[in-house]
Amino acid sequence: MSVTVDTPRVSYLTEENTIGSWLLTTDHKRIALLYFASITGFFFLGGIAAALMRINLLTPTGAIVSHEMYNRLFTMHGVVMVWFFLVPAIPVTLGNFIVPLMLGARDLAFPKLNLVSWYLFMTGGLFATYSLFAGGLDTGWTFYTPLSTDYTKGHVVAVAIGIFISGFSSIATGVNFIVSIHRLRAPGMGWYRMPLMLWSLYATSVIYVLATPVLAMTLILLGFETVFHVGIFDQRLGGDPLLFQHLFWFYSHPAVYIMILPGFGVMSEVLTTFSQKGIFGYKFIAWSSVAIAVISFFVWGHHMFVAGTSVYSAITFSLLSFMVSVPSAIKVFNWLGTLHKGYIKFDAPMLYALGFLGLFTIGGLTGLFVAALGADVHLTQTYFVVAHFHYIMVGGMVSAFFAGLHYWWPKITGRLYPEMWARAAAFLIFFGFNLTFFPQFILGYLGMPRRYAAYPPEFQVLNVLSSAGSTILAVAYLMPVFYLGYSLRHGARSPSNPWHATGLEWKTQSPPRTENFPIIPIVTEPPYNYPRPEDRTRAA
Amino acid sequence: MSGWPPLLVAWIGLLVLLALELGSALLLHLPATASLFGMAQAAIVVIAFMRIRRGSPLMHIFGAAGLFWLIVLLALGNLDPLTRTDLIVQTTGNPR
Amino acid sequence: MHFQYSSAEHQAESAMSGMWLFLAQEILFFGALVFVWVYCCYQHPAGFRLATQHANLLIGSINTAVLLTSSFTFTAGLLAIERGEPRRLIQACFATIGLGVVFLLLKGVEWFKDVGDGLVPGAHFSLTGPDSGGAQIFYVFYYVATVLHALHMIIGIGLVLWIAWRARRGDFSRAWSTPVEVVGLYWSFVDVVWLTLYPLIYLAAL
Ligand SMILES: [Cu+2]
Repeated sequence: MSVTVDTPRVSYLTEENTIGSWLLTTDHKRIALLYFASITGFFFLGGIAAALMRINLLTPTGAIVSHEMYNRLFTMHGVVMVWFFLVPAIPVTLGNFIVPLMLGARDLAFPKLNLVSWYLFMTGGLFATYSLFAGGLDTGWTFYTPLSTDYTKGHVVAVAIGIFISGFSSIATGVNFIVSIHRLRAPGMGWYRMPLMLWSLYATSVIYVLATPVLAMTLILLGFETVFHVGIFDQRLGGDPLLFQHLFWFYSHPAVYIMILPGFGVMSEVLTTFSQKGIFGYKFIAWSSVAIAVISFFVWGHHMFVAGTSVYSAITFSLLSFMVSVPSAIKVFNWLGTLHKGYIKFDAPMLYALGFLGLFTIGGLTGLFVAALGADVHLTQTYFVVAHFHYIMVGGMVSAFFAGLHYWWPKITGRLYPEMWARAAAFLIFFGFNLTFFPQFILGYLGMPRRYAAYPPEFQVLNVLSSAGSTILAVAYLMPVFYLGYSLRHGARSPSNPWHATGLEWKTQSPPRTENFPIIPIVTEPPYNYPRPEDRTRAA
Repeated sequence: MSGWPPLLVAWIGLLVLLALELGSALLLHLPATASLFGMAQAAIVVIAFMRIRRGSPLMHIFGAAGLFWLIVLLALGNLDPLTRTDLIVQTTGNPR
Repeated sequence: MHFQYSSAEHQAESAMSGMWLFLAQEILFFGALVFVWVYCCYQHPAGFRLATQHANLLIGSINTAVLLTSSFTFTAGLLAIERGEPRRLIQACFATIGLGVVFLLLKGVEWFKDVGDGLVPGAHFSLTGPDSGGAQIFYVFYYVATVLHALHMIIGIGLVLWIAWRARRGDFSRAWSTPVEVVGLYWSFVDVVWLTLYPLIYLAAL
């Protein structure tokens, strides 16, 4: 590396360091760090619940906890992981940090709203977490009526309020990102000159803003019915519990794409940087993000195939569900095209990104199985579904999160992380993940239902394999905490562009100053403007 | 569009539509038309009071997006109840 | 002006765009209720009809007129400040607040009467017979919708009060009145929500 390391002493980290200056900051970079701290806490909370479940499933009758406790564990795991980790994860941390930098802007459009969104998130998160501990909830993260309204003893309303409040933090973030991307692009940055990360965060924000309010209303109606024991979904009045599921999945299916779209964005950045090559099919990738954001609203009925919806509705939703896989597949093929003839370097972010490619592809393809009406009747509510969405959410999204975290770590902290440790963790995560979740595909195919604390003895071998994998996964997820923490103090100082990447965020110092850019940059070239492979060969 | 006269016209128009809405539902016994009058009133408010025609294209896109997704919710959501064949609804009296 | 904007106009238009986007979110929020109404009305036409016949059409209609007028007064205030007359804006704000309070008071009277008539879903619901279930679902919709709308009104009254206070402080001028415009968008949108709810509650299922 020939770049001279002149680490600036003044940055957004050093400017002022009182507690107030952090808790009342409107700097998007500091808010991102506040979010990092919160998100990490929720990730490990949800992870502990998962670990306890996997330990319990070591024996057919349940190894450690009671059946009631098991129900509470999987509910806590689902609620915390979905609403307090996966949905916000990449946008509020990496997104918050990187969006203004990529735009060549000094901050987001509404900095105060950004801070408010963190407080909403924390209020909702702590409220929900407290309720999950004090008494707990056993409905699963889906709150299906009438179980949630009439039969459970858990704190449905309290958890619903927590999710409701944090939902508004999502909306605030979405509004902020969309308006910023429209209004704050640096001079010369047309839409097709934006990094693809911005396209995917834009698409994510569309879902944030337009799906979350429906969830909010659903939770209000759910809370009403739980408190007053009379409501819209009450069958004793002739109400329809399926109406709840329609409303719930109108949000929750697009929410799946809230979780994965930001990961797509990270992929486009990391794959181009570490193959030092322009993106293949820029416009296809950009518009497929938008297509996903739109089509994801058309498919929610596939969660209700066996619930008693009409045949016409089921067929429509099945066909539409196949459609939503097309833009995702377009992305995967374009990424492969990007790697083709690239100068590939296997740094840790790249390893995580390649892991994403494999795991997301498996998760996506098995999604087609469950989108098919006939197959879904057999597979629904089994471990096959569990494995399918974990390949996307955990294998895909969490890998992308780590890819992005390592990729932008030098920019965020101004330090380089220990490369060998990071590579080891990337390998371990890939291995541990597959060992945990691949057996679950088989379990589900063989008919083991999800959400049960006990199972017939013939399923034990595969369950033990899965639990063994989860211990490896747990260790692998803990490793970054240590080596990234270590690098905060002892890591080598990073130059402004350690990866020789394109993009405006690499053109300013690491870590940036509060105002990001001393002078607002002027964009004169397309993104990912790396030398073409044929030019390289000629030069060589 | 600025100044008082259009604003006044809009206000009077809204009240007239309200009267027509009531008349149509109560006198002509066409209650189903009430929502159409409501939509017409909403359109007047959006044009005259929210001054959408002065807004930038971006604001138009945002408003249109809200409407589009509302239509998706209504259309795809109601597909199921409207086409169910085996629905047996028991409307009984009080639950408890 | 925040340092991420190149001019005051740049910031103003971004604020307006942000408000429109927030309103798109509100469309879906109340839209979910409209969806619930259509869905349940299709399943319980008779129950919804029975319930609508007992809704207080008189108060509802007066309230509609009150709310329409309040949007008119606030927009008049906006026109006034754009011509550089802050005193007129303050007057318009208080007219708007007054009408908003009238709406809420009438709404309170209506709720009081509803409860007095036993129109509370549950064991003591006063409309009995085969259509009682559907009617109770209607009244769940009614209370959720009207309470949420009233909460939006209360927030709106607070915002208009804030505008009046800032106008008195001399913050707005012919050159700059973005917050007035933004709050006006919100206030008129709450009006639009009511214009959507009004036929659903009082007329459409008759
Ligand atoms: Cu789905």
